[in-house]
Amino acid sequence: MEHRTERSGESMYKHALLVVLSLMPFGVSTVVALTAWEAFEVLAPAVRLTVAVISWIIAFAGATRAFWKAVEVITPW
Amino acid sequence: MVTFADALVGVAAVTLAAFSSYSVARYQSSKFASLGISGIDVHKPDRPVTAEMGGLAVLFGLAVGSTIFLFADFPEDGSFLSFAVGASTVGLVGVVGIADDLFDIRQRYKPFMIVAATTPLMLFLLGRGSIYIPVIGSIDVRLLYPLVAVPLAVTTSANFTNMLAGFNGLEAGMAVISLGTLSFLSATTGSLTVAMLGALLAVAYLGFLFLNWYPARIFPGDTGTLTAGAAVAVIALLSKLEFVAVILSIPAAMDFTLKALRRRPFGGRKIHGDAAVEPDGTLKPAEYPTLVHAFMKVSPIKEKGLVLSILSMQALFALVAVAVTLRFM
Repeated sequence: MEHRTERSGESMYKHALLVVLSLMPFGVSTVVALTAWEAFEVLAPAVRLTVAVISWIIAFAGATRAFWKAVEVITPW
Repeated sequence: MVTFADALVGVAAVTLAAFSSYSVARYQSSKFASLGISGIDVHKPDRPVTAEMGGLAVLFGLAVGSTIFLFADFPEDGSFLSFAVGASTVGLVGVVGIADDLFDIRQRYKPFMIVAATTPLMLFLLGRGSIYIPVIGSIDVRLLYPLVAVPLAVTTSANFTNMLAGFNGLEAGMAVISLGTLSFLSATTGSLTVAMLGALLAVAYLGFLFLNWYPARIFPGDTGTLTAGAAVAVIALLSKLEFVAVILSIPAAMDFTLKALRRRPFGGRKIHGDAAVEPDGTLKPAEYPTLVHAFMKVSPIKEKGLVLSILSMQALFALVAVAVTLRFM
């Protein structure tokens, strides 16, 4: 019984950790997109926005891949 | 200015939308399985046959709630038109979902059918040419807004919701959180009529959720998932809260990205099958990356726990959306 309680606590901790970790792709990609927006000030607004959106998508894909790597590190059961 | 009579009409509309959705879903759950409109609940050890196409109950709830809401006194600023256009666009996407549930439309045709369903919204927003992004501000994109951003947003959101699905209470729970958040933010930013449309949809999904929660007596089907995704995009576009829809779509976007980044994009389920279920109900992930498999991989989890974890994630993003909106709008 004690073992089960301990395991369930650890389980909840790991799932809560994943929930918090899921903020990472959004955070990273938003910072990258805002940086791209600032960096390409000379471009027309629509082109500048396109560059920022493409940067956001690429950064989001990379960070989501990193999220999956983190899942593999957090111990498979 | 909202009068007491309008508030009363609003409360009646919301209550009846929830009650109608629940009642129709209850009727469907007892009849649809025998009519062959059903699916197998693959995440239970005994794999029960469960009624499908529960989204129909949500659409019915929306129709009843909208009809009652027509008795409210609309201001003469185009609010009524935005409500009608929003409701009809969501309804048309729902019709695409019904067709998909009944005739199993090929995946390649679905996006085009959803784009066609967004026509009323595209026409209504033809005069809008700018998009607001927090920190950056308003950007002039002219015709790209109604002709590209609007159909792209609705189609993407509908398909995202259709992909992160398949567990009791997941789709309806996510719809309640997303639509509830959007409705609240629409109200705080002054789009009261659009907020009411969001509230009607949120409570219709809530009524349905009572029967879709673990152990489910009915599934939403494509009618429920496509409608939920389209509704999120429609409410966001009408109330100029496009970035909120983006934030609320992050969990589904992560799931989409994990499936897309494989050597054979989106082929994981065909090759490896669904997650396996142990006799005690614990889920074992199939060998390909998805958001739900991430939770199954790190620690033992059952279906109800998994759904609660993903809904917590959705709630976290809803909080982020509220914080960003209140800070920058």
